[in-house]
Amino acid sequence: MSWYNTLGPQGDIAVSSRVRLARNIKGIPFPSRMTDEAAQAVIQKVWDALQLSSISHSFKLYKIAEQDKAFVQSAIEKHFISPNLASSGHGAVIISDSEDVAIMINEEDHIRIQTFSGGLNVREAYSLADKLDTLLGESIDFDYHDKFGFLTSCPTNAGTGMRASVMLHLPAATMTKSVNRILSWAGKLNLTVRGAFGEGTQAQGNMYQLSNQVTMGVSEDDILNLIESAAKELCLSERKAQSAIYENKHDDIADRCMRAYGILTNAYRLTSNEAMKLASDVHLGINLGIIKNIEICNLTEALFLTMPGSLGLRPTRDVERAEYFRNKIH
Amino acid sequence: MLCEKCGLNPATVNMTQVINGQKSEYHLCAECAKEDELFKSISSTNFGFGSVFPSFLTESIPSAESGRVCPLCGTKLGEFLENGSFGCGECYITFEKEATPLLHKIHSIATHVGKRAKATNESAENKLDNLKRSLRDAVEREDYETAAKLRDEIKGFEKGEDDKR
Repeated sequence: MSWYNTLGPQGDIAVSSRVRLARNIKGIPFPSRMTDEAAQAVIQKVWDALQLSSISHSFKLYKIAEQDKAFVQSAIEKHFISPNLASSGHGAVIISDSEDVAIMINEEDHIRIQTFSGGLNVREAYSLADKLDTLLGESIDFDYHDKFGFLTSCPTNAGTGMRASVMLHLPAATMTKSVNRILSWAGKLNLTVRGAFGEGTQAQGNMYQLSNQVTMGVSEDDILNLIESAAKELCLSERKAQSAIYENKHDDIADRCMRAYGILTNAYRLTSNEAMKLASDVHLGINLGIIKNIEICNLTEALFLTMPGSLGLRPTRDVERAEYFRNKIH
Repeated sequence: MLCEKCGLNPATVNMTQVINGQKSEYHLCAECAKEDELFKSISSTNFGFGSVFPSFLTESIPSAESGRVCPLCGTKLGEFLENGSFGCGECYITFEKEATPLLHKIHSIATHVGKRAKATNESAENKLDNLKRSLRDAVEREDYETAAKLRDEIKGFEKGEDDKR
């Protein structure tokens, strides 16, 4: 079971939660200023620290330069690595077999511990990230300052080094053009909302990511409370908006969802964009009780497992994607 | 949202302009933004992180000071002011005077209050000193919202320490 095929709390709207802790190793320049030799030493140090630790997870280490394009693309799609790490010459990622941990090494900071959880579950994700941080901290001396906290390459991450985020599916907010209002509301709370895939407010598949902006002067618990309460509020308002549009435009919405279901489960060829768009309408249909025989978590899993990188970037991927949906979602 | 100019493509470039307190918002697609005079003038401006530094700070740095260099990674003060990013942990100490207002501008409070690193578990006394120092800074800046937050935190911290005794 991975975070993308688990229906977590508020799972009708909240797809997944992620926590990231940025850490650097004392005495070594940050990745933008380090030598390749130092970069290799950092990778080894983190890997050794993890092997020495008592954590029961099993991990694999991937040096980015040694991986093929499809692996790198797939890791970006699952949010295990950033596009920034993908283009770095001396980066690496350590991924747990259960896919709930992805530690980026030598991205902007030496270490970025990332943990994932299904639904709105930032606390569970943080608890694992905190554990890993403590375990790594037993054998690694982190860059830390009494006043400024954990020191990071970019001052926007210093202090806790923590970014908590929740991926939310907001089709009704998008249809009712409420996204700009959500952006300004989030801004006032020192939160950021952006497309989880794609750029800006043009979120592919109506998937958005809510995350904290401030990392210093607030505790980890403050950040979790803020994200949790804001995400709950967004889930609630999205649910209300979904009911309202269904009430106002009953036939239009029912037709849109059923039509999407028909294409998604019968097409011979589907592009990634089209699959995301159709899956969003089917997801809405499930929430409104229009479509009854599909589980949301199966739909989300299908989406992640049929992204271009996961399908090996093969030229036949659009046909393979449609075949996957035909076989698994019906 | 569609582009305000052509009304055809999605607006992917958003900008807020404030002139004499008058706020205007623009949402354009990439194509129209390329052609827009205002956007052209902005994209030709260097919008490095350096622009978040209060101008009085950069202007008041004596020339001898501007050559200050981090002993660990070799980052120069000028580079730090230009990019707004640190080259290593030591930079935070070398450029502490400049880093503090930058961190304050970004986070509203330039004092860490969360989890602490194991090796440097700070004594209760140090933490209290840091909080009090930040409170003094906030009052001097007339930032009363931050000051109130810090005052409450100091009260809570002192109470916690009393309870431990």
